[in-house]
Amino acid sequence: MLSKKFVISNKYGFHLRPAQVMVEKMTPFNSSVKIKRGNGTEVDAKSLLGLMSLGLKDGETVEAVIMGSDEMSAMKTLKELFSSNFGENQ
Amino acid sequence: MEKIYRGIGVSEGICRGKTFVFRHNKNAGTSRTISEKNVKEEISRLESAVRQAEKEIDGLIAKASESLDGSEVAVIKGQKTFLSDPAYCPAIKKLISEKLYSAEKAVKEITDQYAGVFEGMDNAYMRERATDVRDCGDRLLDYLSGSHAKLLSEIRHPVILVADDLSPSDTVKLDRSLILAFATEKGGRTSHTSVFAKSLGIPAAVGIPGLLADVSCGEDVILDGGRGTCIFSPQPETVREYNIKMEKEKRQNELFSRFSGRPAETKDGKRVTVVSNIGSASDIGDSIKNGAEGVGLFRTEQIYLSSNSLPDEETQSGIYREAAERYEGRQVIIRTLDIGGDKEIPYLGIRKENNPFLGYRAIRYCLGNEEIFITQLRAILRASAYGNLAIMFPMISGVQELRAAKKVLEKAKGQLQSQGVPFDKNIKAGIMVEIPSAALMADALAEEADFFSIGTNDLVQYTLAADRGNERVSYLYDYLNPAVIRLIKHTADAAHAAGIPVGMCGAMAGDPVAEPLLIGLGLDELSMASGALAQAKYTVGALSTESCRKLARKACGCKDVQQVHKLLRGYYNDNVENRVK
Repeated sequence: MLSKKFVISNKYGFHLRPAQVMVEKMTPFNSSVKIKRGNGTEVDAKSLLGLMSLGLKDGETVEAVIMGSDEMSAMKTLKELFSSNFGENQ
Repeated sequence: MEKIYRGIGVSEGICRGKTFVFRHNKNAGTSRTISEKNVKEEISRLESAVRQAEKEIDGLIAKASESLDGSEVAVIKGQKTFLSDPAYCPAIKKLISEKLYSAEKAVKEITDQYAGVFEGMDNAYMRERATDVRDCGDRLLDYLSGSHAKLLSEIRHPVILVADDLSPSDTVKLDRSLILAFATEKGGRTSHTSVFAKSLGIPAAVGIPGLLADVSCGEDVILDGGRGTCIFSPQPETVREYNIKMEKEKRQNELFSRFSGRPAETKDGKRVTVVSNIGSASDIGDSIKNGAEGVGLFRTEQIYLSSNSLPDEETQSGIYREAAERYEGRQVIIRTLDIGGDKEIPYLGIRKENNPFLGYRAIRYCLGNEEIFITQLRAILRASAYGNLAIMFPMISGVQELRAAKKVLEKAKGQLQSQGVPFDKNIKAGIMVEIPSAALMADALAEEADFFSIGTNDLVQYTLAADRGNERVSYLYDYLNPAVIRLIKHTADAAHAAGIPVGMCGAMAGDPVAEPLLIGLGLDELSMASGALAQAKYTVGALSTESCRKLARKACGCKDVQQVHKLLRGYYNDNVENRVK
């Protein structure tokens, strides 16, 4: 099991487009990928409805928990997504 | 007994026919629970409904790709994403197995939950996604109840469709040739149903409270899409009154259509260019068929709205090239991205503002996001090699913005030049005059713009400080207000003094009663919805410039809007209307 904390860095929060990118990139992995919020709410990173319903705001910290056979490469992809800010300009 | 229902008229025209009532069956089984031994059976009912829904959606996507534009296809595709979302069906199954909900009750609960999340968001686009989730849930409920789609596909004869609401997945199912007109309980001026009616060109009224309370199939009904009224079981007197109106409408349309193929010219030989407003490549067919002499306003927002991310240069250029080629040398004016105000594009993530119409929109946004702006300009320039394109900047408030926009345009030209990509080096770059400051500074702007196009929809609301969407101040919102007319005159005079053409592309340009005034003010081009072209050409043909000029002088001297109305209505009746017998 791997886990890592990330900070949402988008002044409009984690809106539809980044959520779509995350679902698209995480779905191919066999591992389970969960996004946990500070208050304990946890959603599936492969679910657009789940991610959207978190309503994450700019500056919020989330924890990604990945578990499964390809967890290493899934975490690598996720890190890249956050460091490229989901392809959005800031 | 005659029953009259009133709502919002969204597509003009009068039609009489037999009703066909369509109601979404939303609540059957949604309060039922099951016993433990039925869990398996309930889950397999759900799975079968999901499979049927997926199959139906695939069919709809195929059908929609043939007949509709990309935005509708995207909406339907979005529903498929929900069906396969790991938070949707699995959550429904969990409610069935753990709480012993019926499949219907579980579908409703989860659908409401997510729709509620979307409805609570501050971005209008995201709120609209709630409709997609509900549409998806309704589809499952329909299959679960076994009543799916019986109704709309049962239409065999031409009818007036009366419905609670029509979703994109309903409208693609319709045989369009059998729908004479429609009325719905829900919906507003900008809802899917209104856009659908206008694209079909059939009379429609929406937002009619209580419409379905007491109506059955096969009732006699008159639908007036101009007034937004629906009259069931009309009395003989009402029928007589409407027969006269329909007869007149028919005669008029026949008369106008004779003018659609000709150029618009006043009796004394002044040519006025009569052109279309279009929003996507799918509007081009109707525009050309109705005799457009080009395009006075190609709104490009739809290209951005119908996509989930920024449309790239290649995609955009393809669309603009199609327009350039199909108008065969007639000018097509492409307006650069005009977002903000009432038009939101979700993936751009523009912050919600307290005064969006006075905020960060249109050219202000583009100048602040040069990459997005230059992509569009490059796309237009590349397409300009294939026809007669012009570029128009929206929401210019003064020369500094025009200069800044032209600087970016020069940069785009320079890039293409150095890459050896062909484009029209003499492409014209003009501006929308829709802010009072631009109208007042028209002389300065005319020195640096290649043409003007007056956008009355915004000019009116900025001049009169009356939000066009606010019903309580709508009595102020009127393009015949003498203050607006004086600004138009000032703009047109400045354009002519500098020797550049001036057109108009707001609702006013397509109003036959206003057209004599516009000719008198010296407008060179009138741009309107394609459905209004034939009548405009007819109207222009009935006028003479000298008499229109006198009319314009009188209008500029009017003290209030009622005076202008009286003046123009009288002029129209004497010079145009009376020729339509």
